[in-house]
This record gives sequence, C-alpha cells and structure tokens, in this order.
Amino acid sequence: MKTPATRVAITGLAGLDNPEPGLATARALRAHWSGPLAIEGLVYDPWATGGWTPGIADRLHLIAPIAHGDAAALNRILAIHQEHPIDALIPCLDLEVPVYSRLAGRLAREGIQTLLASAEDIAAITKVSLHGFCYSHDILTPHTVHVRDLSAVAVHADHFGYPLWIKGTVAGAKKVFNREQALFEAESLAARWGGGVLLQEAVEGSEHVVAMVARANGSCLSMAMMRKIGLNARGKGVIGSTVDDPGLRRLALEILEKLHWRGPLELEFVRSHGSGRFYLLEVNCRFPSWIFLTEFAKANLPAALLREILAPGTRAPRPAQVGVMYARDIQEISVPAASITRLKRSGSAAVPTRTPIRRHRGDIVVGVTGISAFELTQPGLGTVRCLRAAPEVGRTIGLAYTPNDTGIFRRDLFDVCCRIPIDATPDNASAGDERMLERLLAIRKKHGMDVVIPSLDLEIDRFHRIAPELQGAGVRTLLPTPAARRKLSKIGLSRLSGQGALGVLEFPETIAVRNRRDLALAHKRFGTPMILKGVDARAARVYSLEQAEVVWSRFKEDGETTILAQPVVFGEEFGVGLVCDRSGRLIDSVPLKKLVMCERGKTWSAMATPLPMVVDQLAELMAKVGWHGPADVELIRDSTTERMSLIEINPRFPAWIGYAEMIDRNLPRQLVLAALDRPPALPAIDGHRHQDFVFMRTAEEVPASAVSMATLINRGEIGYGKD
Amino acid sequence: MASKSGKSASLRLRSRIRLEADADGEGGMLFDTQTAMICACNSSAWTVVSAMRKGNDADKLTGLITEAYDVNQTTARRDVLSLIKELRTLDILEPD
Repeated sequence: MKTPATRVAITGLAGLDNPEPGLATARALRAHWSGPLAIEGLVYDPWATGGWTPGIADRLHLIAPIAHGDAAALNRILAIHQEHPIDALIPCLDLEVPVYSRLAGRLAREGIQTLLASAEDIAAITKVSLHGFCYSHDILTPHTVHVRDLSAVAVHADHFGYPLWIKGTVAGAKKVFNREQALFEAESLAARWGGGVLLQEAVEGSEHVVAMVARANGSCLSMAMMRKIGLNARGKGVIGSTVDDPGLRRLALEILEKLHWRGPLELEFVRSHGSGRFYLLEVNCRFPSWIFLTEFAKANLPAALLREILAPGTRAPRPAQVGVMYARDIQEISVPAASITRLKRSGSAAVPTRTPIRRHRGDIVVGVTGISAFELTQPGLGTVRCLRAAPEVGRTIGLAYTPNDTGIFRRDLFDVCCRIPIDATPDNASAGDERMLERLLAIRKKHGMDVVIPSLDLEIDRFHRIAPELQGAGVRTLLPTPAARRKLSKIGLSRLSGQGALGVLEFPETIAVRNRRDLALAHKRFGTPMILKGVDARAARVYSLEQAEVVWSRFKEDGETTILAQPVVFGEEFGVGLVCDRSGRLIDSVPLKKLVMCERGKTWSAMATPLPMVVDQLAELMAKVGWHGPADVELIRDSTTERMSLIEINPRFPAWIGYAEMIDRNLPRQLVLAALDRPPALPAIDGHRHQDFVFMRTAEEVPASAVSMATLINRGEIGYGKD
Repeated sequence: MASKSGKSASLRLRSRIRLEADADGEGGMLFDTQTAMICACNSSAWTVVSAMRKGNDADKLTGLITEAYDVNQTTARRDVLSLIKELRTLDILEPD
C-alpha cells in the first residue's frame, strides 16, 4: 500500500539577495523527510524566485497580503486546503507568524496543524519591544532607543556616539559613522518599514546565532549554534559554521525559559571582543535563512519541527555536528513563462522540474575570475555555468581572490579553483601585473589553461596589459582595448551623445561633480531623484540635496576621483549581453527585459525580448570603436518618450549571463571560440525557445569547509575534478 | 621551554581544537569548535601543532622541525616559540 504524502505549506520563499527563510526550510524538509512529502509554497506574488526552485515546492499558491487581515489570510489558506489538503503550516516571515498564531485554533479545526508561540509572546520580543523584555528579565542587550519622530534622530545619534546601528522596526539595519549617515539611513529604513527607527549601541564582537525548536510545553526540542565567519558589507552572514559553546547553550536555554515559546525561534547575539559576554541582539519568531546548515550538520531542525507538529512529544534529534559550514551562493533557473502566467491568473501553479546542465568533455580548458556571490553576484558564476554546457570545453578553472569567494565551494561548476593575487600595491601597477602574470602562467603550466575570462570591471585593464605575455604562453584572452573602453565609458558615451553618434539611443544628460558647488548645480538642474555614479562602478539614487552630499562624500572617501550626476530616467529596464570578435564584429547577443531587481539594483529575474533596433545600433557602435570580447549593456526605456536610454556599457559579461545558455544563446562559448580564432557556433535551431523561459535567481546554501579554505590559502588551489 | 618551576612545560592543544589535514597531508588547519576560529597551517606549523595534540614541550617540537626541514636549531627554536606565542594569543593551548 502506498504511504500517503505528508503535506506541508510553507511561506517566505522570496527575498532575493537577502533570502527569506522559507526556501531553506523547504529545502531542509525535502532533503531529510523520509516518506513522501508534498510542499505547497505560499507566496505573495509570482516573483518569489525561491518558490520556483525546481525540486523543492510542488506547487505555488498566491496568498492574501497580511494587510488584508486575518480573515482574508484564513479564507485563502482554506481555499487552497480544499484543492490541495495541508497537514501542517510553517510560516517563515516575522510579520505573518502572529497572524497564523491567532488563526491556529481555526486552522487546527480544519486539519491544518501549526506550532507557534502566542501572539502576546511574539509581541514581547519584536524589535521595538525587545529592549524592554531584556531589561525586565535581566538579559544583556546593547543599549537601544526607539525613535518615532525622525527629527529627533540626530540628537539621539549624537548622544549615543558613533558608530551605531540604525535599525528598521521590522527588518533592516545599517551601521553608521556620523550624523549625516544616521539621518540618511533612518529616512530610508523608516520609509520602508514605518514606525520610526531603532538606534542601537554598536557592540564590537563576533556574531553568534542560535536556532531552536521549542515544544508546546516550552522545552527545547532541538538547537543548533552557528557563528558567522564571513559577513558581507551589509552585515549578512554569508559563510557560517556550527559551533558548540557551552556558555551560549546555557544562555539560550535560559532565554527560552523566559520566552514561553512554542515552535521555531532564532536568537542573535554578539559576543563582545572586550568582555567576552554575549549580548542578545534579536529574537526572531521563525527559522533563520541559514537553517539548511542544520541538514548539513545532521540535526535537521525543520524536519524536527514538522515531526513535532504532526506527532507532539517526539524524541529530540541528535545534536548538530560541530564545525560544519555553509556558504550562501546562488542558483539560477529558467521558468516557463506559462507557469508564471498560470500562477497570476488562477492563483496556483505547479513548479516545473529541473533541467540538469548538460556537461560536455571538450578539449579546451578555461579559467574564469569573478566567481563569488559574497557581496554581489559576480558574472564569473554565470559564465562558468554556460561553459559547462559548451561542447568544446573540457575543464573549468575558478580563479578566486579570497577563501570567501563562494564559487570555491561549487564542485559542480569547477574542476579546480586556484587563488590569484589581490592587488596589494595599487600604486604600483606593473608589480601587480607581474604577480598576476606569474600566477596565471603557473596555473597554465599545471592545468593547461587555454583561455582566461576576467569577469570584474577592475581587472580588465590588468588582463589587457598582460595579454601579450599570456598569449605567448598559450593563454588567450579577448578583451576590449583601453581606447575602446574610454570611448564607451560613461564620459565617452556622454560625448558621443553630444555628437549625435548614438543613433536611436539616448544618453542621460551628465554633469561631472568636482565639488559641492557642482553638486548643488546638478541638483538644481535635475531635481530629485538624481543618480550619482563613479566612473567605473557604483551608483546611488538620492532624493534630496542632503542625501546627495552624504553619498558624494562617501564616494570621495572611497577614492572615486570623478563623480557623475545624472537625472533618473523612469521606465522599464533592459539589458543586452553581447560578444564581439577581434575585428569588432558583433558575434551574438542576448537582449532582455529586467523583471525583478534586488535592493542594490541587480537583476534577479528577466526575460529575453527581441530589441532589433537596439542591437543593430550597438553592433554599429561596437564596430566603430573596435570593441573586442564581452559587454554588458544597460538600458532604460523612458516611460514618457518611449525612447531607449543607454545607461552604461561594462567590459565583461552581465551577472545574469547564465541565462544565455538556458535559452541556447551561449555567449561565453562564443567568446572562447573567438578567443581561440575558431569559427562561431551556429545558432540553435529552435530560435523561439528564448521567448518561453524567464530567468530567475535565488540564494542557495552550499556545503563549505574550513579545510577547503585553508587549502586555498596554503596550497593556492583546491581540486575537484580528475586531472 | 622551561616553566617557572624549571620543568619543561607541556604544550597541548585544548580539547575543543580540531585538526584537519589538507588533501595532500602536508598542511592543514586548526578549527576551534567553540568559536569557529580557523587557523590555516603551512607544512612546518602543521608538524608542530600535530605534535601538540597529545602534548609536547618546546625542545621536542624544535627537534621535530630540525629533523623534517633543512633548518638549524636556533632558527627552528625561534620559529617554534613564535608559533607558541601566537597559539597562546588565540587561546587554543591548555593553560600551563
């Protein structure tokens, strides 16, 4: 007799580069649950990219926004329950846990079980209430003030002293170092989350987090302790390891007792460098987004929770193995457009199954830089996904600058990862060139690298300078010359636009800002919002002259010599990835419309769309300046004039380049062939396939290891494939 | 290295410290299971810390280095003492 499936509904499948915990929770259940399991993913819109991850949720269902109230939430869940029965519900977002806690009794009467703390107990530990809770229970926590009126932020911030943390009332936190930054971040966080902001003393130390499951009687069913090892610039733990700290365990259990908790829980601490004591930073009423680590550590907390929901009084799982690590990388997928349309129209859709990468074994060995998702997703990760599918490519080499580059843990993408030198002396370019050349030649000698593809803006000049020596040793590159780059830089494009040389494309009016007077002039001319940009990278949108001054100062402090101001162009965003041969002829391109962007403006969902006039114009432009190799072109279609504005052209592939292979337009493959002076690959026979698939990116925790990191440092490389 | 009592001090890694060798076994890393601190060790440091797992004194450790590497006694001793100092700073040695 067939065992009936356990049916669980999970929320929190969105979040992009700051992933909500639902995907990791669902993935953990999928990895561990012993019997048949059906997962219903509950999402607020079709662009919850994590929900579309193949092999995790069976179906996605649109649910009512929390703002519509408890009744709307209940009615929608019960409607889904009628079509696809649910045994257990695991809400994974802070704001929805109190809602489902209030609905728990009614859900249970319909056969949907939950294990959640009471709404009152949840209210006691929200970000706004936590300081009071800690005070009344004698729990050490950083000094915190809730400032409802933003005009009082400056006074309180100065009173705290700097640095300090500015926190949103629900989520989001920024460390600030002066009053101007405090005001800037407070405005931004309050606008997003409402209710003012929290100002919190910055306790310097290491960050430790505890995930727990509490039984209905408040006792601890299971616990895992993690220390954040690699934190990115936004303070997010990208690399972490399970630990066993008896003091932290004791403290977490003491706090649990005071919380009267039921269900999943996360306690965040900072251990002061000065005193060695743990300060409680936050209590979250759901699993953390790193919870998949507990599967790696053989103490799967989501599975323990589900067992406890379905059959209370289960045995505690074994303790988490210590020293087990994760790294947060990314996964890129293509989703049939028809599935997204179905979800929008009918409110439910099946999640398509996975199409594995078709691995080939050709004769070419390719090295790729920019293989990390530690800060932003770098283009090397997508590039190598494409190369894995190229029939001519046999082996791929990941070229990493640090052991924090998340790509070094991707044994599915690389045969070997080699460390390359960071430019320790930026003032002495030739010494840096020499070190890089020496290292790449050593890699060539050991691993037979035929082609190298630098994927980061700041590397292109260096690789161009050492290209002749590399070619002499048998390593080919295909890169734009500095002259071509200058002509198509932001300043160059502004000049070409002035000469009327951009044809059907426009370029936003640009002012070079050398001082505060120029900034005020730009503000007067463009109004707000206005964009401030560095010449090579970075850009920020500002909404007032005061914000503009903060951003301008920050850019200057970070070493930007030329800062440009432009008016914001309102409209849909597009991108074109392309590759040119050594004569500047466009070999192939992928134009797309950007559908979902993360907070930092990077593309997390997009769809190929034909832009023949734009591509023709770009081909003409590239030929005119003699562009070689890859380019990432960013455009906005002005919503008023419908004209296409060129925003910038970058001398490498876009970070979404992995999509090119999914739609049979493998640009990295074309680049490798062109670099080796081989004829380009023929276009795919099914030329319409690209219109049927949407690109999506989601975060993915992968197993990491301290040994791999140490090996990269000690030996300079980690091998995954067979030589 | 002699302790204050004149006896040779035993240098032993704390029990919470885990040693994991590289794939080729010539180096490795120390991992503190309480704090998740990672310390990458080159070949000679690996020789020393591996010998500290069960406890050893500085003279013995120096001997291991001079046996395994082409280095004189003075240099080896200086390097061993420097490593011991670093390990004490990281709080991964049992107290004297």
